[in-house]
Amino acid sequence: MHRRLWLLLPVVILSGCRIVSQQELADLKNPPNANMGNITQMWQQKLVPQIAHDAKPLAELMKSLQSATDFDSACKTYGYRSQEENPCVFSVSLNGEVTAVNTTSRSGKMTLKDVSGASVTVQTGPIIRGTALRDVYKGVSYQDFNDQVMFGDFGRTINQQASDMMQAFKPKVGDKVAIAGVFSSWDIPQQAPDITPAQITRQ
Amino acid sequence: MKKPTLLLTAIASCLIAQASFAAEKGTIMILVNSLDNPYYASEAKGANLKAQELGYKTSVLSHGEDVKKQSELIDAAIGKKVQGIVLDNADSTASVAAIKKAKDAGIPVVLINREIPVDDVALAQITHNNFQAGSDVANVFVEKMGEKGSYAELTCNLADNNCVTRSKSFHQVLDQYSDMKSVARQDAKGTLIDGKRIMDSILQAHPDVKGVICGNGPVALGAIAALKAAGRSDVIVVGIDGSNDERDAVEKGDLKATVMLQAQAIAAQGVTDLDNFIQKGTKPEKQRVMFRGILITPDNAKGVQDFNFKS
Repeated sequence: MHRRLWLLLPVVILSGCRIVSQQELADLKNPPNANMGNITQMWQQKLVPQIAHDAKPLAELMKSLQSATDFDSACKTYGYRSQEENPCVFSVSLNGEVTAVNTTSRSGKMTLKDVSGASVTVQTGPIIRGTALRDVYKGVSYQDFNDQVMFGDFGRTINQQASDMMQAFKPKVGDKVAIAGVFSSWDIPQQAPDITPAQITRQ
Repeated sequence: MKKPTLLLTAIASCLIAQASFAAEKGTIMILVNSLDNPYYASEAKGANLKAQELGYKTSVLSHGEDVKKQSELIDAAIGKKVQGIVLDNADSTASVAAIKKAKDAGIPVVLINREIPVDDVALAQITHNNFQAGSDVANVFVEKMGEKGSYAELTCNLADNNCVTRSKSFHQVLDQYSDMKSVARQDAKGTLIDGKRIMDSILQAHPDVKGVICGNGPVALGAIAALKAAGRSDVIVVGIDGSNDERDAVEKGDLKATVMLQAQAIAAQGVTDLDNFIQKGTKPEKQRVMFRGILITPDNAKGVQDFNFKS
């Protein structure tokens, strides 16, 4: 019996380790692109504060967009895109009550009844779709990567931050919440598209 | 091998000579992979229309994905002193030398569709957002599959960087769904005939397959042909490219979704960049530009015509 326990020891010690290939090790020590380095820190210290700062209440934003002369100028005034070939990303703040939560799909969503009266869909993950969070970030653009796959991975890792946040938050029907998030659009939206959250708090 | 190449070079030279004869602003050479493939033909069409609109003569040629032939055609263009070249190159790495040769001879080259891994050789590199295209169709694919089941992947041509990028973007989405099970992954070389042949054999080996995600349009149409022959209308198929044939397949429901690549638009942009440089010496603001792909579903399929989208 004693001996068997000894056999378990290395297993217990090693279980906290992760085996990586030589390539992965090299990537961890020295990321292939400096921007891939510390995404968690970038998320906390730069991206979330940027979105929270730029976010306008939904009703106000939608009204401004409707009265804009054209999409280009609307994007310049109320949104952001790093180049004209991209969709425009808008930062928005929501405030209201959760009226539905769908966790059946892996790309889960919840519905929020905003103070403006509009019902808005917010991504809850665990799979967060799209690249709006990546594309709204003013610190980095495709030019800093020049590699579509790496740029895609960059976006995926950012979405993971939002996913982790929502999975930890566990929204329930009846929760009163405040959200700062983003959506991207190719033209002036008639109603709010699905929102990708960057910050959520219970009221 | 030698003779047809010589002949083609001769024809090329004649065309260029003929074209530059009457031109005021000179000639722009448009060099793409193959004029039989509707995608490349649309690139040529987009560049051609724009060049004529701006007052250039054009010479439209194909290299057939042959680096040596591409190099010879660029030599001929240098010899004939064309004003600029719009090129969908034959191979990302191997093409660098030929492009540099043109640049050193004072002829600006704009790359479309395929990028090269170096900067400051081409005047501009205009490409499609293949990663976004792949993610968009993969999202529809997952939805139509109900987020679960066995699926196969037919890549378009793993020697082509764009195809590798698309495959990676497929997996970035699909691999997040643990109930989606990959049963086969094969390279269909980007052609309809290989798409059909490989799908035939996948159906034999994995009759439980519920979906096929394809790297390009011809492969998807090949897979659809195999599924039709086997009477399997239950299998979900998606692709990328957005040809008129794919549009028709989307409208019929055979193809659940595709992404239309703006072939005419990138080619026209390439000509505009050349014109600005040739006439005014202005370089484009950014050397690398990505155009978005447009997700095509039954709702908007009718807007597709020759890789141009009108909503």
